[in-house]
Amino acid sequence: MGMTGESDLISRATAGDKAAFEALLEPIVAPAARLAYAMLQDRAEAEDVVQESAVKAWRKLGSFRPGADFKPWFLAIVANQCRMVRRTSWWAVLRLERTPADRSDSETNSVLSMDLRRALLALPSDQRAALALHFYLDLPLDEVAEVLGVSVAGVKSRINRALKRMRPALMTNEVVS
Amino acid sequence: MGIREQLHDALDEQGFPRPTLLAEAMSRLDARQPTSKHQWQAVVAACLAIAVVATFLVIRAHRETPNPISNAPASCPVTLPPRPPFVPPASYPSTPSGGESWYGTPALWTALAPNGTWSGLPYDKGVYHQKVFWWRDAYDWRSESGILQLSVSGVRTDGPAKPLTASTVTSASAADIGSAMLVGIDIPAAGCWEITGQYKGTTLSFVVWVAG
Repeated sequence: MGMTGESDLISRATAGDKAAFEALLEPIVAPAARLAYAMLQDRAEAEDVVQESAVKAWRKLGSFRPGADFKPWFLAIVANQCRMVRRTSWWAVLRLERTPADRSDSETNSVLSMDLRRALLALPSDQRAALALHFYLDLPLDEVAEVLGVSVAGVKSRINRALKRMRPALMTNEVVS
Repeated sequence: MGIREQLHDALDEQGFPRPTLLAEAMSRLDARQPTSKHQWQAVVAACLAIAVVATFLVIRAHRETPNPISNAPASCPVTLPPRPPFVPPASYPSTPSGGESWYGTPALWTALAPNGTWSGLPYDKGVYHQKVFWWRDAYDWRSESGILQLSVSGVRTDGPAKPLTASTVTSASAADIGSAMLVGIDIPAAGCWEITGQYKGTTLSFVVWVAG
């Protein structure tokens, strides 16, 4: 979506046009859900967060800065909503483990993925968000910085600290510079 | 394989998000138009004023009331935090997070809602969903093989209701609360419910008002 088209949609949505708001959301619902899932690792919670974020975004459209990009603005709302859910719900804070007897063969084969998810959940939320936004949603560092409200250097620092903490669960070592 | 590919392998799930997610989100939007900036300023000012008054009232209520006040009707004898509080073994935090209170014995304990009420529970297909955590001293999800021996049941005490159903027991662990057993329960009706957990001969019950 071009910026002009997006600006037009934002103007219309701000004036109460739900169809315009839907058109704004359509391309970023999936990335938003993936971000929420990376933060919470609970499908239902992640989808709830996206819906709640959409409601909040709709109500806050009046404070949207003209000329700004809608996607990082909305993802910032999603990231904040995830943090709120994690603060208020133990379910989201906890890493759930089923008993060995409950695990299927395919799950057993996913031990590496489980280790990675566990390591991801153990990260502080700012580091987890930075990692998910950059490596999972493929956002460039400057957009990650915009979502998280920090500098690009701050993003790099968060990502590198996260990678360092996750190193035992990762098959490769990477550094963002 | 780079971190990008590893994250996708670990996190990508088939059928997620649901294709209907956007439509569902749109159906939740209220009819009113988005709030403008100056309206927001007014809202923030009003919220601040309410927060100040609420803080004052909460502090006053705290001074006057030794026990948490329950929102439950008098007919529902909800289990309130014990005085003195139950303090679990040293390897666990002396109080749980979120204003909850420990309740039970080292053999089996759980966390009570601050006012004996569960409210704002997710509701889907006619049932309310809640997750109940249970602890016992030295429980370790990595080595414990008998967690399925925990059984959780519940009966509504103030009216008829279908039986409460409990999920398979799972384990949960986090740095701040240690290892716990977790059961998801589906509650078929709001009202007064007695929840009972049984683990290796130890029984622990509490009464909670399910406000929905």
